[in-house]
Amino acid sequence: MKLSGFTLTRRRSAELAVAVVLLALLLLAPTFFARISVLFFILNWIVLSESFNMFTGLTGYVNFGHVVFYGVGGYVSALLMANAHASPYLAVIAGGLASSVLALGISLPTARLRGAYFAIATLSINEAFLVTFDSWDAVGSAPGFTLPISYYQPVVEYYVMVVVAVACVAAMYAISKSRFGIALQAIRQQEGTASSIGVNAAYYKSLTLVFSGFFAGLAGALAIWQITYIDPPSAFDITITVNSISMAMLGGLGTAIGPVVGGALLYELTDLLGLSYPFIHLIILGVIIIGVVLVIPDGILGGSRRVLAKVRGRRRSGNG
Amino acid sequence: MILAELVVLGLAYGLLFGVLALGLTLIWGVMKVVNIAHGDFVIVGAYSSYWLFVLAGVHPILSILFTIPFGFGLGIIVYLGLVRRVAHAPELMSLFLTFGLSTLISSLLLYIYSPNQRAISVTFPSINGLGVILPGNAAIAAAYAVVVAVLLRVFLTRTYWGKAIRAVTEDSRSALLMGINPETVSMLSFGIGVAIASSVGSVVMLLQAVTPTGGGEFTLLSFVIVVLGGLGSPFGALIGGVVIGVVDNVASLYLPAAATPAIGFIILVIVLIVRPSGIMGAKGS
Repeated sequence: MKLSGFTLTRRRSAELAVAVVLLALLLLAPTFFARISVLFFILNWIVLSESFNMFTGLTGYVNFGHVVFYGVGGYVSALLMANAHASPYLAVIAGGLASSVLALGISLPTARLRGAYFAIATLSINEAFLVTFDSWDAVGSAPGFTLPISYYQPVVEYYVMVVVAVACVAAMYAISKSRFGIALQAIRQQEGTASSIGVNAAYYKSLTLVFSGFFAGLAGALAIWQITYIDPPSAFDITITVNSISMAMLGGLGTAIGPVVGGALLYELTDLLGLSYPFIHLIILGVIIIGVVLVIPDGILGGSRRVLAKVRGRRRSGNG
Repeated sequence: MILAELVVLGLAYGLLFGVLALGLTLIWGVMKVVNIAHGDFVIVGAYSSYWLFVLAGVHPILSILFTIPFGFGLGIIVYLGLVRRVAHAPELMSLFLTFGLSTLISSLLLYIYSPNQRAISVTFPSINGLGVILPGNAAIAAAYAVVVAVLLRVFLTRTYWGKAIRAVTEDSRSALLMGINPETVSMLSFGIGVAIASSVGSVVMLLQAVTPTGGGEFTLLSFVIVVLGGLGSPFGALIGGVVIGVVDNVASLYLPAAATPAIGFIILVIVLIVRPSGIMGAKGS
């Protein structure tokens, strides 16, 4: 993250230009695009998928309970808005913070678990939260509750969403390029060796989960602010985790830009299909996850880079 | 007497789920792959039995004769088409793959059969001994579990391929040196694992209603049992199953109904905290 060492290569400046144009388009979108709720949800999915990627992509540990952060962030912010009449900005931040505290709590017993044990533990955490919220009267139990209509401010919500999405992608980029990211890479490749040379694996994993939980909590809070309704099956829906995984994997696990590409593509796809055939949407996600694992484990970006390199190599060697 | 009845009932359910966990353990032992879709194969078996019953009047017990070979074939197809290719990839990839498979199976069932609950009403006469009443269906489930456990034990200790599975579980490299083909052993254990899951599905049809998305619960249950009982140990899986079954049933007497699904989770967390690397850590890494 040393900015003094940042030199503008041709590729970097091209990337920077694309990023600036995209950002300008996002900021101006409400002036020329009528359905900004579509953009809102694309960005929301990107944040969910990027925050999943932040933990799983960097550490190599699969968090099948990612939606728990989304749900808790949503509940905390919704309760603050509905019961305490808090400002929505405050409520959203509180949602993010609540989920990062939760992430810390989850990581304490689970950070020492290896591989599949961690994955299954997170899967069961998801189940436990769904069941608990479903029978907890203080949070509205099974029927859930609705936000006062006065909180519905689509354009404001959209701009907050843009800020959060940019921050999330930037955070992922910064982490993956930093010393911290290198430690995570060591953990992903050889946790035993990393520990033996003094990388405190449990600490790094916990902290990464806290970042991941924070952004997923923000996404949940923002989603509820937009939807103005929350109940346990929608807040702790495992489909949200499935979506986050598919998007991150499709774009490219462990890269900052992967979930942006995967999220935008997959949202468009499911938006087109999901409305009329609710179950087909899940079938497609299942096929995408399996297909990516078997065919392009490094996602569309990595896969296309490999194909490009091959084509170039062939051209250079004169085989046409 | 209620307590005694719940213990006996828990014993019966526990044996069945112990056998289910056995299927998961078998696959893990040989391939070091946790099959997240394990529970979804239970649902596939349950739906097969349901439709055989509704459309052709086949008794659920008889349909086991269909779900075992069907599950075995399905397992081999899934192994050859999918799982084989991630056998040597990072664990992350096999977790994603079987998770994707789980999503695919449950959503296909949802699409084809709708989210409605399905149940068969077949009741066996209950058994009454020493003043304790055990519902006949639970007794049948326990009997089925015992038969499978005994057959599996005979297979694992008396036959060449059974011994080969144990050898690969113990030390795959040495097994390879002894001329055992790990590919065949993996295929076989995956087939057997799925056959167990789908036949347990037939029996589950006697005990409860099922929905297409109910597989996750069976996967979690199997995993809790495996963690508790000892990985790679068939006997341990049965003991783990019985412990979970009894604790689950007895706890339902003292806890509110809404809390009972969380019991398995609580047990899992406690076991994982006490033995953080689990049995897997002791053996694998």
